Amino acid sequence: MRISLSLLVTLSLAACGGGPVESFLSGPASIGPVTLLPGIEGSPCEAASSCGSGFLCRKIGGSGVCSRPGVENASCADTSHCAAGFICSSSAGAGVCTRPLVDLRVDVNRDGIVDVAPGAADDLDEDTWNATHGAIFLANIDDDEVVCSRTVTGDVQLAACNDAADEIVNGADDLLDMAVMKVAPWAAAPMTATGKLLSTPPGKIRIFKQTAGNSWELFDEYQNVLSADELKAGVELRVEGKDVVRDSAVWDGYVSVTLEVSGIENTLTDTVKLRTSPVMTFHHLEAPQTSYVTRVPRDGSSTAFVNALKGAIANTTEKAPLVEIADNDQWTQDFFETGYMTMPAAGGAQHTIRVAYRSASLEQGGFLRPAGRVVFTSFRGKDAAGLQAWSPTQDGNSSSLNSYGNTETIPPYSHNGQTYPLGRLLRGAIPSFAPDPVLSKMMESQAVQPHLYVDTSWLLVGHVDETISFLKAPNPRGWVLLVNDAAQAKAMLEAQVAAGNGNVQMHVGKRWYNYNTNQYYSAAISISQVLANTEIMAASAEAVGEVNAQLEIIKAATGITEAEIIRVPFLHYKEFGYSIAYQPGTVNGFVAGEQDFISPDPFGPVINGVDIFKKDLEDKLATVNQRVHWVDDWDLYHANMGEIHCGTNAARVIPAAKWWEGGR
Amino acid sequence: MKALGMMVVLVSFAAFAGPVSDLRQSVPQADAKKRGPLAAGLKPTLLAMGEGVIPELIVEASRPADPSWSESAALAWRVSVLEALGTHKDARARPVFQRQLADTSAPFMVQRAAAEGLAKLGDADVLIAQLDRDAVVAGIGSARTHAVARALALELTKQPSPARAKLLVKALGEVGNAWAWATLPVRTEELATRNEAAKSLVAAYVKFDGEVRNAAATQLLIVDSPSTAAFIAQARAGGLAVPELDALSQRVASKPLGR
Repeated sequence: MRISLSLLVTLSLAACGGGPVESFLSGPASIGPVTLLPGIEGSPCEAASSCGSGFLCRKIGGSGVCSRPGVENASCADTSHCAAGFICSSSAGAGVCTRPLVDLRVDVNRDGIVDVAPGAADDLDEDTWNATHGAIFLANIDDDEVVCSRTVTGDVQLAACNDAADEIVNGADDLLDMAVMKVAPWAAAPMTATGKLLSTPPGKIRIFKQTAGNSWELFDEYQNVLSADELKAGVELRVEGKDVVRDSAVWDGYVSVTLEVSGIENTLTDTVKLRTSPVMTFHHLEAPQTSYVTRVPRDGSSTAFVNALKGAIANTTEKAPLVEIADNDQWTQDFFETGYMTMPAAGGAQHTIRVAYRSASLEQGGFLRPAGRVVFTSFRGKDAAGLQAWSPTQDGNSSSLNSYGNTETIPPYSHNGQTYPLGRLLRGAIPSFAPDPVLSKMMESQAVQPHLYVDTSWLLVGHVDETISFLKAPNPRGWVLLVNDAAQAKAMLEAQVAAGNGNVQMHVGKRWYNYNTNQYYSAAISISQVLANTEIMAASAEAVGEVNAQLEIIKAATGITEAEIIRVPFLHYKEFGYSIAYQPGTVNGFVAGEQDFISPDPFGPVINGVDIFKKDLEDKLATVNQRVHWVDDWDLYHANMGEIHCGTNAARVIPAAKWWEGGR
Repeated sequence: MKALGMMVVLVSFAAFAGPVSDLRQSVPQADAKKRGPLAAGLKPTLLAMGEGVIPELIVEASRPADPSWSESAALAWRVSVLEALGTHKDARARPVFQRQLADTSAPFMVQRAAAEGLAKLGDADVLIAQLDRDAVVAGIGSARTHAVARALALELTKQPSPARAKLLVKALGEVGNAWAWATLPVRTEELATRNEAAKSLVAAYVKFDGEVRNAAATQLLIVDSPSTAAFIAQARAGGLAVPELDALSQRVASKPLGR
């Protein structure tokens, strides 16, 4: 409990009779040259100055007697008879002095329990919030009873339905998504007392009150009051956030709730401060719980890929179940991004609502990428929410940047005195080529995974996953950076030419395909032909320079050293003036487990029975205890500007690191 | 007369019905599968058909898009055909490139691909004369001559906007691209061209900031001129030094192309 200072002063004045200041000043008084003995208990008095130290002049009827100020349960006729900090409550017939208990409690100490006991930790510094204390609530945007329509056509309408969109508690599970808030019981509350609950800024939360019969009803901050009986008994409340933070410049996620009790001599208040959970994304150090892939109906290459992926996942340690999404949009990585929100739960646990961001890419016609509807039509449910944000005037040229292959998460690290316990978001953007500003603002506003941007404008697709990935590693950092290195690819091929293997072909058995006629044309090409190809070499040199620029930014931000970087060789070529992986981009794989990396088969040159590009990656990843599982993604993904990572997705284990301890 | 012309075109289309036309039928499917803004895979498929389809590609370059196609499908096909023709470096395609480049109302990517096609055919002079056009700047880098590098460098001294300056910087990187030069049969102008590009890029690095400066640094790595360090030193000596020159020196010295 914390009563504001100004009110405490007012209360003191009231407790001392409300008269002139001298009336409550106690102590010896001097009258002329004769010193009178100050009045003691029961002595008649006109004013406090007539009474001894520690006494006040209690007026009963017309006369006054010196009396010690009443403390808890002392009889009183009015508050002037009570000590500072007490009021005279006549609720029980005869008046008794009682210390007002205007006490709103939330889970300040983040132990998942709201303790209303006097002096409990939940009462300390409850109106402030920092890394060590302060209550937390969730944006209650899941659909616990799975009642939201999955067939609504409008993008806005589809997203509009969730548990925070109505004014009821949607079942027992819904209650668990709400932060507990309690009004501590004030048994001696006067019958005239009433309470209000006011949140600031307004409109960000909804408060529910438990009523008789263990039911819950909306507490309308502007219309409802807590009765004296409720204040006496204490009130059980729940707080639900109506939405996530979308623009921290407008709302930073903090809400203060004030309990204001009036109907007593002076209105008293108690304020608590809460913060909504940000939406966080997963980094690759967390094991996958669910894998996702799109199965394109009636597409043989899709079926082949899904089957191969299943086989690879079956060989991982985690064997994260593979969920198939039936859609013509095969870019599973791109049309949603998995994440989560958490708040403290009992036993040090975290209560979680999983969140899936929908891609903000606009299609022709101005509607959002249809496959992204899956975050609402399939994922939204109990403790699972969908989220979308976009600008209808987004730059169509950079629409591809809104795909979540362009949103990766740098694993946790510390550098230059800064700690990022949940990592940082890595996205491709420069001022002239940037993702949707509304989505970016929302993601940046989550604050706990500060963004790092690199230039991907030179890439045809423009995604960070084309050149960069992260893997768990047994090193002090805990992870390594995988990064494309076309120079290494060229050097590997030149070494084979020098060894007399220039005529050995790569991409053997692979083809460029006519979907319409099923005609195909061999993609096989000799090492020497590749090295002599001006376009491939020009694009690959450009890739080296551009990746170097990306790496400079990441190195500066993370302090990562070459010893913690694994170079992944493949060459580039260009279409439409922009770069794209010429060989299957083996950096662009699926992190299917803590020690399992599913990579596109590079179909590199086979020398002495060994694919030199496969061996290169296997050897390098073995040094960090990672296994490589090869999957042929040529027809479905590589030939269409993507790789395995682009066609997969994962929801991962909720990190043990708690966002509220991160200091952001 | 106009009708007769149409008939000739139609007959031409029919006469060249073949793998290119067949692939054309798959454009909507490729468009539906695309990951980025435009469907990739068309150009490599066209190239994989070999030089035998060049006549068909030339005809295809004049065919209008199917009206049922999406805008992105039509653009992807049009540019892919032009780029495939450009890669073949076949003089028979020159009129196609000239015609497409002359159409200033065509999408930027079409004009760029046409300019690139002419660049690959060695028509540097024609392109240098049109360097005021951004699409030409974007496509000229494949004409790897000292004259092109000089012309681009000159344009960079004319107070271009940041957007145009970035295009010029990238073109300098393309014309001086070290690995591209290494594949060329004739390399007499290589050193002069790469040096010219590097000198201009260092100047751009000092003169501009933001995206242009960043692009200049990256292109310097791509050009990988042996004289870059000297140009940076000259920039310092000439009072043009900026603090970031130290960082640039380190990046250049790391020689990522040649590591």
